[in-house]
Amino acid sequence: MNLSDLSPTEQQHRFSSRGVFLKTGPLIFCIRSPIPQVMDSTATLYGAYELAENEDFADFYVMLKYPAGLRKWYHPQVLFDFDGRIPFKPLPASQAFPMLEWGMNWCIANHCHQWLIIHAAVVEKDGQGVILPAPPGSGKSTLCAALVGRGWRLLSDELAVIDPASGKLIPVPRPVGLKNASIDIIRQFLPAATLGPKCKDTRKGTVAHMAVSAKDCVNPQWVQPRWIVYPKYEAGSETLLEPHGKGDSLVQLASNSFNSQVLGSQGYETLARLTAATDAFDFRYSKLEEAIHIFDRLCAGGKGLARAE
Amino acid sequence: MPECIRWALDSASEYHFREWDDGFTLFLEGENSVSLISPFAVTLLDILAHEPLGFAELLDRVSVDYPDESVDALGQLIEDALAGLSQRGILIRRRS
Repeated sequence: MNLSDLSPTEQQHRFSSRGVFLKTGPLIFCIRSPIPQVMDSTATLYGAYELAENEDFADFYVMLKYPAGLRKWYHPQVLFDFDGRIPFKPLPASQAFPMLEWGMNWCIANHCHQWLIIHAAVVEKDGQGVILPAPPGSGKSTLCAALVGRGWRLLSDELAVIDPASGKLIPVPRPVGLKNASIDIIRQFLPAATLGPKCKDTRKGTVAHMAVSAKDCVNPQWVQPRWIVYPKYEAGSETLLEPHGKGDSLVQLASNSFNSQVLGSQGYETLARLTAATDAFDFRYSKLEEAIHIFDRLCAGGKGLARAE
Repeated sequence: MPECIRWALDSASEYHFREWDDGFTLFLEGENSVSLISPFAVTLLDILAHEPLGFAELLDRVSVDYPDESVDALGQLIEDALAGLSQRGILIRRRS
């Protein structure tokens, strides 16, 4: 059963009482909230997600709630509650849904140490995984959204989750977080995409989330990583794919990893195996159509792509 | 370079090297840090793995591996490598 199979009344009842048990990849989140914005945006963006059959256990119990007291009415704020703890300072209530998304990322990155986790988007085509690590502002999410809108499968927009034993990528698909200008760029590029409401004045500027396709939400298949691509959006630039040294790529992956330090030598060995098993590239782009063309050619085993046309 | 300074590997860490197309990655088990270093730096660390050495002793040893380099060029390479390795906690300084 998916979330959208429940009536709006039943959804509201569950959000307000025992919670909605949502599956993303191998993880289950129990989400509770009395806040209408959280209920509405979750229904819009997670409608195609499976509900856990068994509600005895969730990996993470989270709740978005108003602080106690008058603050609920005067400049209302929202709190993120995780297992009964409040790990973050409150945010304006208008940012409740983005806070849920950021909090869910935090839950995974800070607690799933059975896996190596890297700050990166991950997409897949024909069984071949591409990891896109990049700092904020690099155009990673815009590129990721465009790719998944054109047939690439989304494993994650924020977290590359790697099984140390097999070296494979584990899907934890969640809505793609878009910021500022990229929101309208994706609206124009993918007119059929489902986007949640814009939320202004967050610490990241204006943000909105794009829904994941129904088939990606429920695809549990792990993926072999094939390429590491470091994207960089530069207005007006030509589309350029150039080889990136593997040693430096390993260092970059380590610095983008949330938990390789926690995993110690196992983390390093996993990073080294990943580096050895993949080809790394720097990718500069300004036009999404050309960017997708390059990725499609890469996937098809195209020759001469390093310094692409 | 002061004569009284010697460089040594931190005995609290284990050093794991891997060679790639653009250099060597060095993982320091203990500190859990990853660095990309040059083949020259690896030569230096290999020499220092046996005993702590000062600058002049290092220059003598490295000259054997790089016979075609001038003493001045090798001295500069050693200085740069020592600075980079000690900044990243890979080498420690000892007073002899």
